[in-house]
Amino acid sequence: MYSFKNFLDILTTPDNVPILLLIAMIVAYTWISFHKAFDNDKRLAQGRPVWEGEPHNQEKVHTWPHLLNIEFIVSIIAMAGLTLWSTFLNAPLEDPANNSVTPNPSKAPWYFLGLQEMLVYFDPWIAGVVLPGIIVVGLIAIPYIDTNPKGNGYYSWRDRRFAIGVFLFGWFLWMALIIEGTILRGPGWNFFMPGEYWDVHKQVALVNINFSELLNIDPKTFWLARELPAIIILGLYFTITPFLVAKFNKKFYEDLGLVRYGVTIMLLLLLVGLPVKMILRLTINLKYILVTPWFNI
Amino acid sequence: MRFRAFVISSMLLFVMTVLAVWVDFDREWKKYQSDFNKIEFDKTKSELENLKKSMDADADYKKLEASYKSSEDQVNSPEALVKQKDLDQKMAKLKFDVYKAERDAKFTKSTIGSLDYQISRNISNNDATASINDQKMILQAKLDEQNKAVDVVRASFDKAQKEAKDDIKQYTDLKSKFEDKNAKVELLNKKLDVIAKRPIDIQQIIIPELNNTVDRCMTCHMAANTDGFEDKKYPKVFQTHPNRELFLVKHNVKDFGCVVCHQGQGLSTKSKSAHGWVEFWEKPMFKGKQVEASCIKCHKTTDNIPADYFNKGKELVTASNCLACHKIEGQPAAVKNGPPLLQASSKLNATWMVNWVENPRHYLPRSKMPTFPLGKEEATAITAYVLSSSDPNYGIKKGVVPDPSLVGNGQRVFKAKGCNSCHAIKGVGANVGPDLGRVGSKANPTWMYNWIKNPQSYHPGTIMPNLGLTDEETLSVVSWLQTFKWDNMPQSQVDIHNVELATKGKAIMKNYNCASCHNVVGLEGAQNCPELTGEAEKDIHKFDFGYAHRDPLRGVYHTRESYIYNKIRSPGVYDDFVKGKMPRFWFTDEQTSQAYTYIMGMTGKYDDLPYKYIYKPKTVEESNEEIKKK
Repeated sequence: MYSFKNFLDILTTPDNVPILLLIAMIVAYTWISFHKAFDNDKRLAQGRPVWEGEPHNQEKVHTWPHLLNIEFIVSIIAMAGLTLWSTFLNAPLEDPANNSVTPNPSKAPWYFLGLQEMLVYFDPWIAGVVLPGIIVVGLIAIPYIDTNPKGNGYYSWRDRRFAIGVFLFGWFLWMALIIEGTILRGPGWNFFMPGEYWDVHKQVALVNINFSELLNIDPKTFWLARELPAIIILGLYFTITPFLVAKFNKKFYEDLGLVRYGVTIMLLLLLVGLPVKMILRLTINLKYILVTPWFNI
Repeated sequence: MRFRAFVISSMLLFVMTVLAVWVDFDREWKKYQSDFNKIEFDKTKSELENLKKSMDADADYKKLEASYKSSEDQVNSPEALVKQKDLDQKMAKLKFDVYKAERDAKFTKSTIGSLDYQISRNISNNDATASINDQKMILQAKLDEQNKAVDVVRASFDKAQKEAKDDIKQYTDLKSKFEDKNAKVELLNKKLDVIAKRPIDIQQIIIPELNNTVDRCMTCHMAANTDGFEDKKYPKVFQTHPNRELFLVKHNVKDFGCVVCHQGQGLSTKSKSAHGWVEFWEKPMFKGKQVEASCIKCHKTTDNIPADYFNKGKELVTASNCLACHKIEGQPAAVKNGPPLLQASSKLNATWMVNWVENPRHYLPRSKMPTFPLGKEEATAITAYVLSSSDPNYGIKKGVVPDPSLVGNGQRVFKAKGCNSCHAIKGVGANVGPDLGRVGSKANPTWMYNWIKNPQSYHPGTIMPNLGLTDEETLSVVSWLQTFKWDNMPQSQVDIHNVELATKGKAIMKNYNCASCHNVVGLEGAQNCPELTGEAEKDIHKFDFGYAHRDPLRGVYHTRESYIYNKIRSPGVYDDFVKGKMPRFWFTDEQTSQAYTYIMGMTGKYDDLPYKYIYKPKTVEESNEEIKKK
């Protein structure tokens, strides 16, 4: 059932080549930026100016030709790469279309696989509408909630630990979802270990239950009464945590001010909530925490 | 530094572009075409050389050539040429005279035509036509005269021409004879020229009637529809289609193409994908004679067409009684070809039967009964049911005991009566009836006695004849045959009075459709297995591949072809998921391939093919007329 060939087959499917590039690029760019950031941190600790602030790096040059010709060369290299790619990798065709047979697995384009993976853990309305909306709104809000002037124009880890840490958490989470959706999800959207044969008949014991059922509450009970514990827990998660964080990290709260702190902590709680729900699903088969007639969380 | 990067990257892009163009240009089929052109050129050239050699050896031809050459020299001698020049001038003058006379007549004729128009116009306008009529009459007379003049000058021209021709008649005769002899050489020379100038091009057949099929097979198989490449010395790809007259001329290739029979991917020009041996192509090319499966698409019966392989498959399917369980539209339901089990308990030894049901081949390596996927437990249950439900009181004579003193006599009778022309003993003898080398462990003497006396009383459909043996002869044969025991027969205990076991056995027998071939007490056979009509067109997702979707170890691939072939060869190969009911018939690869060919003919495609493609047998009148014509 396990073989390196199976793994290689999946990795070398023409569909999945972008994912391989993606993995390489994540590693490379993270390494480059951290390399520079740690270098600057060392310089700051020694009281020297950052690398970008060195006199010889302060000189200003014109966009044309200094920047544009670099971009031109890069675009030439990219074109050469794309030519090579399209010459030797054919379009990944599958069975002739048959309107009575759905392909298994049915996968979205690779850049949507993170969303598709989220659908495993959440109500379609939450995973497909609310969370992507909040991600977009949160990204737009970053300049307004992150007013820390440190790190402008230079790489630094020491000065922006929180911002970089939170961003990398979200970024790696998203990439991990895409990679999982591409490489580790096979027929029936089942989880397959690397190298495991993608067997369409694979059966996995997955009986998921709601939080209220965990508490032995009759599902027929009126929903408000049934979901009261869930509402309390979610309520506590979104109200008590901000207070606790503010209390134990007063400086953080005071730097941001009430409104910015509120928005930041809410976005942060949602971001953390995503993997928490995933872990709950994987460990105790939790289907939904809160079930209302309109949406489920 | 930056300039160097620019130069290197530009060169990289250039190389990549050239590479892309080259990959696009360098196609497999082009090589095939140039190879074939070379082969055909060499072939034609050697033909030409051989022809020339044989002509050089021909004395008559040499003589003709010599006289032609000498007369040609004569015609081309200076005096003759001067004479010819004068003659040419004279002829040119005469020709011009004819032209002039004809031109004058033409003018007059066209004037008459215009007057005709004026007359008809005046008539429709109720105007006078008399004066124009007069004019026309005059012109008509003139035209007659002019025509006469034309005849005169033409006659003199013809005469002069004839004289000129007669002058060099000897030469022209020789010339035409020589050219006739040389025509083949000229033709071959022209052919060489054509081959040398032939462009490298995709060759294709487009058939709008067949769903706009485009077949490009002859892009590489260039000689498929050309005589002269039958020889095996040519590479297989360039050989002429076997029986070209029948398959490509009678079934005109312009109307049929290739893929409609052979399957594969007609549009592709790459060897592997064109033959359909790529993933996801649902109709890979038939291998070898399996292509006969396609005949049935248009010919509703293959009885009088040369589809031997297909017909053998059909025979095999009938002989193996596949129709007992599978339905095929248009094929008669099967007969029960196994012996009846209504009185089995008067015949069979229980232990023997368990072994037999488990795998008939243990007892009889050439058994007609297939091997069902049964374990010992199930075999025991079946034995219990059959032996407890059937009638134990078969036969007129009861209580037969073999007599050891008659054993020798029995052997003699067996030979004398010709029993061994159907039955073998331990592999020695014919293979019509079962081998009797171990029959003593199978059938009890009483049954055997009554059976030999009158086989039809037990099994009305049996082919075993009633040989009319006397009581003593029969007893002798029974005594002799009873000495043949199955040594080391695997032992087992069967409690035939166990009702629970028997009920279980009945259910198993119902499941495996035993009553389709045997008469069994309390069971009816049914064609309840998957219908085979249209099997070759069945959606691939409807086949149960078990876990064997892509299992090279089992030789199974995710194609309809692979499924059907392997299911026929060893039905259990897909049993990961649902235990199949189909027994194993132990077909050889050849037999499997034949049966497969027959099943692959089950396309149900008649309706998709246009009416003109369907074979319509001739009526009696039509064939009579044809015979009369001959």
